[in-house]
Amino acid sequence: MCRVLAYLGEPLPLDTLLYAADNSLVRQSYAPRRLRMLNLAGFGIAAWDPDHPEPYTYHTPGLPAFDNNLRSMSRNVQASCVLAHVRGIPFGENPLVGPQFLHPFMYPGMRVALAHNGELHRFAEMRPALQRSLRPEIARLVRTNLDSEWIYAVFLSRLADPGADHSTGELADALVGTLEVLGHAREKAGIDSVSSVNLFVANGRNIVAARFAFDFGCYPGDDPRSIMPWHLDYLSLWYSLGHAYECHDGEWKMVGGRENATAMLLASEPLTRDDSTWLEVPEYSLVAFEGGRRDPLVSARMIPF
Amino acid sequence: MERPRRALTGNLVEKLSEGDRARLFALGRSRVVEAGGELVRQGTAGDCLFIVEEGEVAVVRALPGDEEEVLIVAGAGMILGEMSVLDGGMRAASLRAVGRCVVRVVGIGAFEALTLHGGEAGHRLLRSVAAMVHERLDATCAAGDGSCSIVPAGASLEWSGADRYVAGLLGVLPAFASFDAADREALVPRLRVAELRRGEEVVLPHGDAPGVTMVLRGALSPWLDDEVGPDIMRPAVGPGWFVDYAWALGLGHGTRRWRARSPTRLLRLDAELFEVASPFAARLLYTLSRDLASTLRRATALRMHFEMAWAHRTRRAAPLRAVQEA
Repeated sequence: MCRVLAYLGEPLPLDTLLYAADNSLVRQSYAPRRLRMLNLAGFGIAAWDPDHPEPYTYHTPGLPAFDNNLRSMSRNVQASCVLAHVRGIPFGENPLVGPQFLHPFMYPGMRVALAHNGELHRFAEMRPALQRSLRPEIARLVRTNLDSEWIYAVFLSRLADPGADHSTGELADALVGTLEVLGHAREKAGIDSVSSVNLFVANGRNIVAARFAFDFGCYPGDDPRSIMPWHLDYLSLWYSLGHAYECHDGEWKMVGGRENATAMLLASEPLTRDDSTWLEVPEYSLVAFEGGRRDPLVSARMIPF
Repeated sequence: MERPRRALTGNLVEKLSEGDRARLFALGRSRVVEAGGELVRQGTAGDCLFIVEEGEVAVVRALPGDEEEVLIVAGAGMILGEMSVLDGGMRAASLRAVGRCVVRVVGIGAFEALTLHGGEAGHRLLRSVAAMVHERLDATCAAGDGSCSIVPAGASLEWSGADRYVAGLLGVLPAFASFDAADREALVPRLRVAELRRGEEVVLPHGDAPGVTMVLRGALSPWLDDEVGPDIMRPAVGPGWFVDYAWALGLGHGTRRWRARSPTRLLRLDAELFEVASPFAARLLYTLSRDLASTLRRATALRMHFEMAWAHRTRRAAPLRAVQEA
């Protein structure tokens, strides 16, 4: 079911974000605290520094905890905007595992990357409707039949100029539009079972995320024994704000107060066992963080469908 | 210490009879805390609740940025720390003595023993505690703009009898974890189900028949009106969560408008199931109280989130409704 981490603020070494805290993203790949599944199907990251519009990207289908290249690189790369993802998929006969399935997705020539936490149930039946919603130049870039990549393609197709630099408002509008398109495709295919779509987009300057589920609570099938815990809980999404992400008395946290905050962390689950300084993003809502200011502007919006 | 923006609602002790008050106090021991002393720390496990006997206790919540906010200050007669005892979650805030104070500490084991197995007295006490949590929930949900809008409109529900399939579903919902198969079968004649289509709206509690509604399948969001949309101060409700509590707690029967986020099946439990004569009353009331505590926890987080988002939008306090329209 995946775990995601996003950061916006003063440049930080990547290892403080990926490894340092007691519930760091890398640790969440093999021991997540708020998910009853492991995330062993790969790792990906897009990391921007203030001087370059194009991010550093790295994807590996291996376990990030055992990836010496990632560990070494993360000590030496500093980033002011980060979108990172550990991938989890259910066990099955034909699992979609490989480098082409790794988040965050970012096509050549685009300025915005997307990561997805969740799964679109019966996605193959939605594809014909989604195909019609894609811009031709975006459709040509789609490489896989993975639901998450198609969500990215739909999202890009909702932007007036997909290759441009976008404000938080434009990104948020496109995210809501993407959810609408996905909803219509589900409706056409007659799908009414739960599908979680926590979405994260970043462009080096702004980060927008949605916490959403289609038909939440509609467990598939009629057999009560097939109901799983994740049919009864929304996928989690948390954030924290401050001036700096630092370690004090062995505990990593945002410090320096909320007023004029200059840094933001957004994650599927808090990076520390102590979640006192984290807040949960409400279900059916978007949260947007705008960088490049003295303080990251935080705005919230409910999704009305 | 900075004073809070609002007073704590729900003085439990003054609402109890002398006998019930004595029973509750007999469960615990008094503890003296000097000024500034910390009773509990946010984020730790909660194995007891507190009744303030003398002095004042501040409820302090950590905020992003390593800051703190005094949510409320509780005086004599107030009960604190009940959320973790009821829902088993971590402490949602720290408790600190404002000056020298005396608190009665009641362990979770003694509290459960009385409320689950204490007959009429235990039932009365749990109902009082749940009513107090309900009062705090309403106060929290109204913190933004002073009211939870109530709109008298919605779909007409057709309730029908539940079947054994429903009994099977109850078996997988955490809310009914303490009910075995025989209990669930015995509940069935007192249950009704109704369906809602996605996007349909309903006003609950519904109809004249007294009952308590929960979601069996699907999800509901509290809704204001079409121009405003969801009520941002009250959490959405999914499978196994109660939609309304008033009938079970003997409170006023105020209604609220909800919209189905998914194709939804509602379950109505006869109000009599919650009466002391019912063999299921204690467990159902405890389940409902647990749900109330979790909902209060989520509502508090909602309020903090939207206040923070708004604070960063405008740098001034303003009605939360405006956030929703933004």
